Amino acid sequence: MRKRNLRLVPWILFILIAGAGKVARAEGEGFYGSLEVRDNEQGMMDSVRATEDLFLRRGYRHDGPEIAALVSRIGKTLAPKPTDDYIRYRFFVLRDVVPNAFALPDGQIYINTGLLALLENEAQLAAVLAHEVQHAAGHHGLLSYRSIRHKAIAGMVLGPLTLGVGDYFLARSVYGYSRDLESEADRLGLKKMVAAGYDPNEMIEMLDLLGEDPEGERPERKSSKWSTHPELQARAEAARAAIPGATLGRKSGTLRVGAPEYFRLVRPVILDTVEDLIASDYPRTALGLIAPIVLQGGSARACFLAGEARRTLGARPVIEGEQILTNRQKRRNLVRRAYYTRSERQDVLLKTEEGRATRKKNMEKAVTEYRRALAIDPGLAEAHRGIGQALRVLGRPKEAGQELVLYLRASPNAPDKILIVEELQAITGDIRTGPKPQGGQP
Amino acid sequence: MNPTIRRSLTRATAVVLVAGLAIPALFARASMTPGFRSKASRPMRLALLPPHAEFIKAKVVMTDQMTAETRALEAEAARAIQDQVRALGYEVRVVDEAALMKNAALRQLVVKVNDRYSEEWGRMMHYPRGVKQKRYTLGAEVVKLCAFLKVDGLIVSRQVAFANSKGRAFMSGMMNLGAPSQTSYLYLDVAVLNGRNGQVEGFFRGYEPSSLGQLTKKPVKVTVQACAKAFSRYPASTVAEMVEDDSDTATASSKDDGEVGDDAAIADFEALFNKGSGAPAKAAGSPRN
Repeated sequence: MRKRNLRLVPWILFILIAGAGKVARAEGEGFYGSLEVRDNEQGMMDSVRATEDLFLRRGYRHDGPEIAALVSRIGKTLAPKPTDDYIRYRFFVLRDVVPNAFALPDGQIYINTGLLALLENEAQLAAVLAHEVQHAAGHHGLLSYRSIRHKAIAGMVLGPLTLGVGDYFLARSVYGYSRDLESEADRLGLKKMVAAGYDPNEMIEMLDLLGEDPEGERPERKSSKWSTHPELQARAEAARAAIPGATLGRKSGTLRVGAPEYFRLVRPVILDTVEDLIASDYPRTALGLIAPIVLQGGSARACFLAGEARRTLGARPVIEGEQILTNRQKRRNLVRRAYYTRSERQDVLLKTEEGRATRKKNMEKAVTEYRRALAIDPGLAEAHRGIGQALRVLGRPKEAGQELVLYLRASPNAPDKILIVEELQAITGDIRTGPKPQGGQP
Repeated sequence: MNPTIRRSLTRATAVVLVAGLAIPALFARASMTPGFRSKASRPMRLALLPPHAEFIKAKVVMTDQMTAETRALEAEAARAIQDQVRALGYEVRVVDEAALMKNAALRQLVVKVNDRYSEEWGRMMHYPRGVKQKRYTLGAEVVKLCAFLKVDGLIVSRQVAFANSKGRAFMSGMMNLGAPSQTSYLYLDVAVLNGRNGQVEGFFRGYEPSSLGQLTKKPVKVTVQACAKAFSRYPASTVAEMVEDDSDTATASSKDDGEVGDDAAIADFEALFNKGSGAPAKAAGSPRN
């Protein structure tokens, strides 16, 4: 009798593991009708509602009324009629350099300035918003919450009984569910943007733009069982395959792209983003965004920001194409950013001849950009400061001092006066005692 | 009593006593630059930026962010820090959310400082002793904000509250065969930034074991206790320690002799520039023209 019971154990284990595997294969699918919020979800919904206030209080919202109006206008053309009391579609721009957008279950849709600056036209913006609107309309947030909850409960029961194997399948299925919902948002979003009159080919372009990595800090990850989103390339392929069906019956050339108007409205956002990218130490991304504006005969501010980006690069080269860096190097860059300060990272590069040569080249280019800014607007005092700081790094203290004096004279109430006065004093000291090698921090 | 047993008991008592003395030290952590300790680079007029809090609630099956509850924690932290700093004899200007709403320029400056601080905070949490070695500098953003607010330095704070729900605590107890479950807690990190150069001069942490009920119903009590622990090592405005590395002290005393204004610095540079390098010029500490 006891022997027969023992023989059953592997079968029970097999059935439990198979059950966990079946749950793991469950496909994520949105629900586009009315969906009631359960009692145990009220806390989550309270947090969701509080997010709007949190972003406002912390000053994360972007101030530009024109770009906010554009995002809101396009978003509203893409949003369906709310199916529930708790859903109210509203669109916000966040001042954040990360190219990202997200939707919350109560219809709040956010897009970061970092993504707005990266996009090239209105149709690409529509593609982003259409995708996010589908997350809210399909109750993806609530359904994910429920799915994770159920799987966690199942894991508590199955985990110990299956010696952890069940947990593995369930954890895998959480990510699989998320990827399914992302694919659904892409598929339905594409249809929505076509219905609103936008060219769906721009969704593919938008996904390509998201894959760019000018800083060399995003190692390529093949979409695995542990990814929340499908691979960008796979998403682009899926969109390409869906376009003929979505545009059936539409005359070619009738779908809108809206590049010039978008560029006019987004230009101030690009300049703000470039400033933020430089402040966050992402000068390569900043340079990539500002370069086209400078090439088109940009404003004094654009040239000045190009100079600032070059100066912030310091000993880092501009990566001309991602293929130069291997995945391992990208991972190393990412780790270095997390653990080492900005000046420490520069110091590492300055130990090599190549690093010193790169810094020299970047500083010379920075001076050129600052001078171009001054040629457009001779009253731009900050350009004198930039030239002074770049020339000091280049080992030309007298000229550097002269430029800093020009800056201090032109803006006697400059908020960073205290730093510049100290820099001028250091230069004076250098001239008296002979030049000293400059540190890594540009 | 057997002498061996007595010796063992004495040793055990000593260990318990030492551990008892060490435990409060674990709940408060501080790292300061030598200049901060010696008062040379310690800001005396401070501006307190709105604190940022994060509240994580661990339930039986998953964790939730409690965004709505963070507001109370942030408000209490602002009050508690302000009281502590004033009690230590420093001047404090509180930058509240209402001020940020009204003034777009101030809002932008504060957001930039907070972004920059968040970047360094990750590194500081990983290696807090780096503060003592003057490893962390936030640069021009801090200088600009301090000039705008007319203060010598900034206080930036971050709070993390982690709360176990009753169900979670019960489940953990069951799974761990009665062993105590992970405690709920709140920790408050406070950093002092120098308005002259953006240097992180001091980093203080207060840790307060708590419960979900206390964190949601009595945020005042928990925050005040965590804050008191964080400030337990913050020197009073009158205290100046003697430190071995006195480079900051030397710099500060030369500045105290006669603060060099921009006019003096310009004149000094121009005198040298016009006469050619190596020519004698006005001393760095000469008064304004």
